[in-house]
Amino acid sequence: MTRPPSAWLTSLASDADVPVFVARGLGAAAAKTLLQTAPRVRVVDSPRAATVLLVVGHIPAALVPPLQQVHDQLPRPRATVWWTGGGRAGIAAAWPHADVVAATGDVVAAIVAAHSALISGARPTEPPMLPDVDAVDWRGVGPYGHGGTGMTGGVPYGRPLAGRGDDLRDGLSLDVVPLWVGPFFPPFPAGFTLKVTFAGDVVHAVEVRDYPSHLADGLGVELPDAADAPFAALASEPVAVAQLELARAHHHLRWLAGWLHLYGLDALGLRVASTARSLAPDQVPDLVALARRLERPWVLSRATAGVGVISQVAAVKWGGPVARASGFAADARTELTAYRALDFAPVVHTAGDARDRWRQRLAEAIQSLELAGRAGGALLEPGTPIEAPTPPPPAELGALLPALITGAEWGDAVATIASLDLDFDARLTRAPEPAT
Amino acid sequence: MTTATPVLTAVLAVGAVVLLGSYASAVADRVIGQLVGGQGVRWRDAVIGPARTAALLLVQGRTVTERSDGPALALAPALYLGLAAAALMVVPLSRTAVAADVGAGLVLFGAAQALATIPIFLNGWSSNSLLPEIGAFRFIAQALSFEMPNLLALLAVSVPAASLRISDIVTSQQHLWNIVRIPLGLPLFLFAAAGLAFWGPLNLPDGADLAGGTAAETSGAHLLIWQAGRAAMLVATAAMGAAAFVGGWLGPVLPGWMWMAAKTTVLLILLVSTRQLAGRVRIERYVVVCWAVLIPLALLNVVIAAAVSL
Repeated sequence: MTRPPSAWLTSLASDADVPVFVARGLGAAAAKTLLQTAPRVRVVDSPRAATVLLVVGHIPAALVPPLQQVHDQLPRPRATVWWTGGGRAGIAAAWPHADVVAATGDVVAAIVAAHSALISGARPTEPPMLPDVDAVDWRGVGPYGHGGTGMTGGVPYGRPLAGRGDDLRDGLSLDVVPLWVGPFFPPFPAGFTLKVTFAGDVVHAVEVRDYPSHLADGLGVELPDAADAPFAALASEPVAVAQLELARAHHHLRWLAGWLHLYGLDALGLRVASTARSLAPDQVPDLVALARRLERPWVLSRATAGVGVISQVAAVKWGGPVARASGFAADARTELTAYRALDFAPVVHTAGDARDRWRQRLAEAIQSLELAGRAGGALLEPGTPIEAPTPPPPAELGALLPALITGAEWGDAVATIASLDLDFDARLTRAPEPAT
Repeated sequence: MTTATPVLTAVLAVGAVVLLGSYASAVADRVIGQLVGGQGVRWRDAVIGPARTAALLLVQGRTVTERSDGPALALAPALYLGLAAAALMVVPLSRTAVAADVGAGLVLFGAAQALATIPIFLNGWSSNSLLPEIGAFRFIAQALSFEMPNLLALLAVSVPAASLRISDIVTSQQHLWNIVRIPLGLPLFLFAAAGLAFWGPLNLPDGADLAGGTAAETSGAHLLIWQAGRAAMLVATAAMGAAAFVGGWLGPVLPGWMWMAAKTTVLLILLVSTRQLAGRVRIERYVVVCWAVLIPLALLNVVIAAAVSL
């Protein structure tokens, strides 16, 4: 822009809700509901729509270059805010312009301050972090010099060309084109990357390219997660059943709030996120009313029916709420005396589709609140094996996921992955692999 | 000067309706969001909020993707907004106030709607990025599905009026509104036309599963005009719905333009509220419903219109 914007325009723009793109690292779960309910912040789906890039938690070294790419996709003026658990070690050198907010700090205030300073011109826009060059050297490669073989294929300028693909389902054979989705694609878990081959809107082939498997070097430190804290604490100290069940309900509602956003139901998502932030057993009627509302065919029920069906046999490998949504009634709590005293019986659904998975989590959240209300002062002994809100993703994820989403429309594929509530943080804290 | 004045007045009037209507739909969207979100209405935020967001988008710079089709990308949002304005031009706001009371007004409105497929596809295609392109493809599938029921629903109202001129269609409802006479028409028209503005549950091309779809690579003024275009398309739909199905400017006591404004506002709020009340549909089911359910219903609607006009 050659001419600076007028004063009244910048003053209006400075007071706007701040569009924030959230790059979630490991240990970023706590940020979700906070940002969804913050009054001045609007979480956006694409970095192109944001003025502030918010990086949350721990970014493994391998994810720093993609994060820099995301940074450069923000339009000017832009700023970065890091929200991280530990000190600012490493960040200052790698990200010289960023504001760093500690775990206990007011991240919303930092975001709003960065935005206002940017718009008023008090803070300069951040320069690009990567050079503006073609990602792939392709000229002159291959028989037609386009980098591919035959007339198709190749990745001119780093963007793959369409290639030939067989028909998967309806007799219409389309060209296929590959795309890497992740590691900061908002509906996916942090660090999760898929190589998807698209035939139009249909997933022609898919390969799980990467997901966090260990805590290697990187930037920032995971944030403490209030929802998982009681489960972690149970390893070493007695924890009240009521506390565990409130934490479970919090976990499921937080997931539900994100799920509603995926379907465009932002206001209902906000309502759920607000409920999750101040949970108490007396909120059962509110959640029952919410469940009734979501069950209406046009709200969420019809759009999620039949999406990503997992059979009862296959569901065993997924465990947790996903398995119970497919009719596999396994729950570690049935073995515990404290839960038997509360007449606990696991909630089960049978269809095994995305609809039964959200129904399952919402029903479990309601059940957890009821249990928390009845549990009184019941305590679990340290080391008791308790059912986690969501189990770590199965080890054979790389084989299970493609079987589930190949041939699906992209919208259904994204919904299927989101409905599984893949929590790599859980796996990392339970079975850390040695850093390489 | 004598011929230029009415044209200028008409253009200014349509521009004002587009501007006011788009802004009103943004305000309505905020109010409904606050109500559904259970926070209570914050009027100040709802009324000033859209202006602040617009100002931010004007201050924000453009983003450039590699090897994008620059002219096509720049054209897309302007063309979309322009087509919404063109559609609005043929809708009479009162007995006398209509920018272009052409004899084939219904056809012109339908043509503007159908042509909107081009800017939406261009917006997704020309940024040279795959998620926007998938959004563009999705819209083609969507548009092919809703065009038929949309045009059939509109066509039915011309039968009792024996005219394609919108003001004749309004006058033909002097004794009985079309919503009573041909009851399937308005729901069919609103459903199909909401698909054209890819709003709420029908937001398939710009959905969250595509990180913003056709608009995923755009920012700043481009994004502002794009969003204004969608809002203007909703306004054009609501205005046409008011004129063609619920008697337009006809009504007792109040002046005609107030009746038209009130009816349009009610339909606009109805359309806008779908965003927070219904989840995004699956494209496959949407296409099946359009072809297998809505087209037969729209044909039945035409037959009903013919029967009541005998």
